[in-house]
Amino acid sequence: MERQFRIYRYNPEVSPTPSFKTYTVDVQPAWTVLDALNAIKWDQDGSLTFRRSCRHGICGSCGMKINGKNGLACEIQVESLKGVITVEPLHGFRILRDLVTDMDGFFAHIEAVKPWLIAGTPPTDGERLQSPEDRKQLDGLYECILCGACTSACPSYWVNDDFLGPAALLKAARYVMDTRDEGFAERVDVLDSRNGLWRCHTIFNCVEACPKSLNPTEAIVKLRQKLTALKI
Amino acid sequence: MMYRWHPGYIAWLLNRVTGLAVTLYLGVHIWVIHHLGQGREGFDHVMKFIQSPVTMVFELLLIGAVLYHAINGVRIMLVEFAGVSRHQKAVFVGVLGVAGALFLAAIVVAIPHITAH
Repeated sequence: MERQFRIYRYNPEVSPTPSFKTYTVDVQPAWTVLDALNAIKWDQDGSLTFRRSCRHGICGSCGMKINGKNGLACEIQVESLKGVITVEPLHGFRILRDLVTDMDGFFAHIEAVKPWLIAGTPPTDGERLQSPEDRKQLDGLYECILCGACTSACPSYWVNDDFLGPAALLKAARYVMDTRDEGFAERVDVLDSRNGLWRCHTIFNCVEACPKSLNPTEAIVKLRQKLTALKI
Repeated sequence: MMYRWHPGYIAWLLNRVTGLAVTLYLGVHIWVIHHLGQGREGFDHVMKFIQSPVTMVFELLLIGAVLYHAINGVRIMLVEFAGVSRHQKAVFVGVLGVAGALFLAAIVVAIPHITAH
């Protein structure tokens, strides 16, 4: 079945002005948007540039805006979309070329919250075991694949890209809420900074945008409660 | 720039707009009160303008803005302290319902005053 894809094109070496170009693709049953993008790149226009890797919704590389909604190109079935399919890069990030955005700042924010287990004492029995109940507290926090869809949709991030953003704060919550972690004090300075937790205005765009149905706002609220309790 | 229309975004946008409206009203209120310094005649003159039907319609809209802003504030507190972020859409509908009902009551009370002029 033939479908039309209206794709954002930008190459600063050719033109400073971005534009949209429409391609017609003979889409096969069960194709994802990524399959269609690959078909365009391989058969029609080799200059089309986009990131992709695992094509199984795990690596987070192919995060983009498809028909106005952030998502993973490898997870969205073409059949689920109506009309001409518009594909744009994630908003809020600097666009390098076509659908490729500059994610350096995004990953710097992730690193700033120290996304690893911080424990003051060595494990007593080889592994740091955790009860099933304690482990369950991490559900909804550990599944983030760092695609950037949430941060890209955040108005607080649009006006200030120094704001850590929902992805980094969700990642912080994943470790702060881990009963084996002892690093909250080490993370407080960055979480309690002017570009930390308090810049979230609970708009819930991040929740709407997350392709993994996670709830960064809830994680941010829990961190704010923990921080407030610490101050009181 | 915006992402998509959804209850959380609309709630935030309305909160900003009503917050700005209430702040603007504060300036107008101070401007009105400062006429007290011009004596009875000056104050009566500005009050005549304030009590006109057009101004009273704006006052009614101000009541709507204050109602939404205050009740949405309760929603924000519930999100922050009562763990309702997963149900925020339903809570927003509740905010619109309560604010709307109170605004309707305000309209019913205000209409005789507006039409009396």
